Amino acid sequence: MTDPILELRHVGVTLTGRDGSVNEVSQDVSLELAPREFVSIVGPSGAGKTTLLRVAAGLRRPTAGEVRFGGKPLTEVQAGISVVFQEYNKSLFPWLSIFKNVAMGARRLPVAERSSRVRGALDMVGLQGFESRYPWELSGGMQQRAALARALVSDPKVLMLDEPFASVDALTRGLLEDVVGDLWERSSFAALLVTHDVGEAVYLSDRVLVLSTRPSRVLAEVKIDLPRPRSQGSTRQLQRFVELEAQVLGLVHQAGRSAAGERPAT
Amino acid sequence: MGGPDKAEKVRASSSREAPDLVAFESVETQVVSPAVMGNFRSRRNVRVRRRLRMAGGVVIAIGLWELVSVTQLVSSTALSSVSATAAAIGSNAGVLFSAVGQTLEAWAVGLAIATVAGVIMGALVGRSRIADALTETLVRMMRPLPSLALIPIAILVAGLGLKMTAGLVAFTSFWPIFINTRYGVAQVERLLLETATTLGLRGLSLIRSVVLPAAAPLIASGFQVAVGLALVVTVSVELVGGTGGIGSYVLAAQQGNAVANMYAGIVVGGFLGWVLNTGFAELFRRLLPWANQREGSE
Repeated sequence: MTDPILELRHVGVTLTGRDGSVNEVSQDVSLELAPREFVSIVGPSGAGKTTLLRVAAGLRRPTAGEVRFGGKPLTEVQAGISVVFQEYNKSLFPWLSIFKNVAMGARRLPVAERSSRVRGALDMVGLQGFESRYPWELSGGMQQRAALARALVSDPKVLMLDEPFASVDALTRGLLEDVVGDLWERSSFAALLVTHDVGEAVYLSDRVLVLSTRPSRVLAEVKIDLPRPRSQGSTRQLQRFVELEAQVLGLVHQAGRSAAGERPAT
Repeated sequence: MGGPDKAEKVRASSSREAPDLVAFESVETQVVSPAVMGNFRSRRNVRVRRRLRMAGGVVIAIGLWELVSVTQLVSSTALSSVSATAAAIGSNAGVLFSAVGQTLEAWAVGLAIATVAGVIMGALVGRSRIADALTETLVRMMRPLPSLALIPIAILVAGLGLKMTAGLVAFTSFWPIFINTRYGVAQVERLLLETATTLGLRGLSLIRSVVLPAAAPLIASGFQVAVGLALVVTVSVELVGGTGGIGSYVLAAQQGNAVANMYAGIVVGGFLGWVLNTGFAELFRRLLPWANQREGSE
């Protein structure tokens, strides 16, 4: 197996509140993301999935263990990792046009390349013609496409997605899943998706990791051996898809129950 | 979603409850529901109707003024008629014009100093919890000081004249700008900052490209409050100190028993305030089109 592009080694996260309260969010989480791999993290709500993603992105330091990116320790935000957040309306800059928003993602690129790369990224997500519009003039789905374009314009090694489709309606969600799936097929980034939507995780991923409740650990790993390319119409009809979805869902429920005290069988 | 709701609430409460913070919307723009926003024609009709009513208010006020002066409800030695005032404005146009110029000069200098100082210090204090705590008590003590009570000090420090007036104007109009900037900078969404961080922005470029633009609508509201305050202070200092400008013109007219001229000065001063307020409201409406936008149309 090739060297992982991103690695979490025994990562633990403990939050200390301003009042001194201590909250252990994660305990000993280890995971590896190979180049070009698509991995999802699912788990019961409150499992600290988002916190874990922030640690993996370098936005927060783990209190134990380490994160490695490209074989080196990751201690702060770094070029090569892009993040798309759930709340597109708070992560796009309302004072900038769509073009300039995406161009913010191209800041690290040579000036001469920027505008052609921005145009390319906008084409990729189907936003050509909307360059001069403002985020608040677009629908939620289109705003999230713009956020995707901004994340991908720099040609990252890893794309992190934090519940990226949780704020849009079901139909738009399906469309956006396919946009991400297609982009992933055509590009060379590895993807780390945090979601509470088990079907979405199974549909998009090579592997799905199931987290326990707080303090979270990786409870189980499910390999998704569905054929690619996948499509909403056909993939979700497959008997294998239904089995895998049920299996992961079962594991998530089991994880949720373990919060009540009973440890799941390993 | 929860997010946009919260942002709205902050904005709404800032306009209605906290006297420190004046929301951008409160100046002239009406709060228009999303359903109305979609329908452009009815939105325009609403605006036209509002403009007409606003003009109507002025006409009614002038009518009442004329009524009071014609019926001698207030004696003509204390109140000139509308026509006499209009005539006085016409015949003193040159003097009034240069008085407006003097007033505007002190106003602009003071406001410019207040804006630069208020935005820079507000941004620093808003970004630092330590600076915020250090300045909190001072701010609460200094802010309510009436600037007119400081005139004696200002005269001692700067002597009579433009420096003194501009200094007092700067002192007074600093507060709304500083307070709104501090608040605006402190309440920038964490997610927006994190997004900027992942895009490689940090330090000064983070402040310039993200923090200040995100706080701009609140800074603009603070500035608009300062615009009015600055004019009040300029004219008051001129009136007390006799340092020229509209205030001194009004004072001189009163002392010379030229009632119509006195009202001419007052009307011109009021008109000046209206022009400045409306002008900046319109300017910010164009510069910050997202300030009144409801986020996320699904």
